[in-house]
Amino acid sequence: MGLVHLPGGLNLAAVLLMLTGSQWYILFNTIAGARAIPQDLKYTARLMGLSRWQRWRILYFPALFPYLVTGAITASGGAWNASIVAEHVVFGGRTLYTVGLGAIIARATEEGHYPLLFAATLTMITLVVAINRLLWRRLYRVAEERFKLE
Amino acid sequence: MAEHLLELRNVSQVYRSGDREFLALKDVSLALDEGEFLVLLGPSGCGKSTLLRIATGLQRPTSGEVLYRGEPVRGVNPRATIVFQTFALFPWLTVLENVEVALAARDVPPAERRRRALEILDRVGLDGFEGGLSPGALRRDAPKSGVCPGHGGGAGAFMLG
Repeated sequence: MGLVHLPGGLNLAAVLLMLTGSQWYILFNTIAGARAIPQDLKYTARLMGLSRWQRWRILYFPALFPYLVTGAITASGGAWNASIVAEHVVFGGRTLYTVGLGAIIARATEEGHYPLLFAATLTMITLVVAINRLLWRRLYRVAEERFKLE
Repeated sequence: MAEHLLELRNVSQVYRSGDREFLALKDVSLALDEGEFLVLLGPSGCGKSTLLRIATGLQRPTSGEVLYRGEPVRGVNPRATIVFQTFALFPWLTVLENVEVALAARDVPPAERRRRALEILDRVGLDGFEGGLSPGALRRDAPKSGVCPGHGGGAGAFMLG
């Protein structure tokens, strides 16, 4: 918590909190993906004598890609959620906040400022939906069509 | 002593899971010479695949030795391979790219890779399949065109001299 005394400290702390909270989605999805790689493909890669880099490029990365996308989608959802608590912290009798949508939502809730709460929540919903449509859904389609293990 | 192409000496393999033990291979010795063709027959679970993995160096036996041209095999033997019953093709690569991968592993330059891969596909009657076709589509479409990449069980191992 010493971080908050640095300039921009709470920003950094908020980012760190969101990262620690959301990294698990990616980690566990990656583990699940690694376990799903068929043993025969791993053997074949070794029998062919592919180098470490070639094995990553030709086998592991494509096989993990759909799982990485799923992990990233879940993680980004978790991070939006975490931003509300991470950007606005009551600590040692002081209220610390950074500039951000999460902070606005948390403060508006605390102060009972409902029009602002409504507007901020609506903004967050719009952002989440837009990013889902423009980024995640496209990546997901690529993962489904190109990197599916049959 | 005569040098064989491949020799297995007193190879045993025990699989352990917790405190349960399973003896998959018990004291197997065999020798293969150049030009020989060996078929392993047996019910499933009798250790055929284990023997193939050990013979190619994918797996180290619990005890015993594997020799290739008289030299102990350490790691995967680059002169040996296995064709798996699942074909083990990379589904995100085209048929042509799948052939090229094996050449890329041997540091063949890209242009040469393409030329030799096309030649190989041509030789096995898969010319015309070299476009953007995925292995999955090949499996579906190949029987229709009279080319059958084979179905069903078994794995084959190949030792190159």
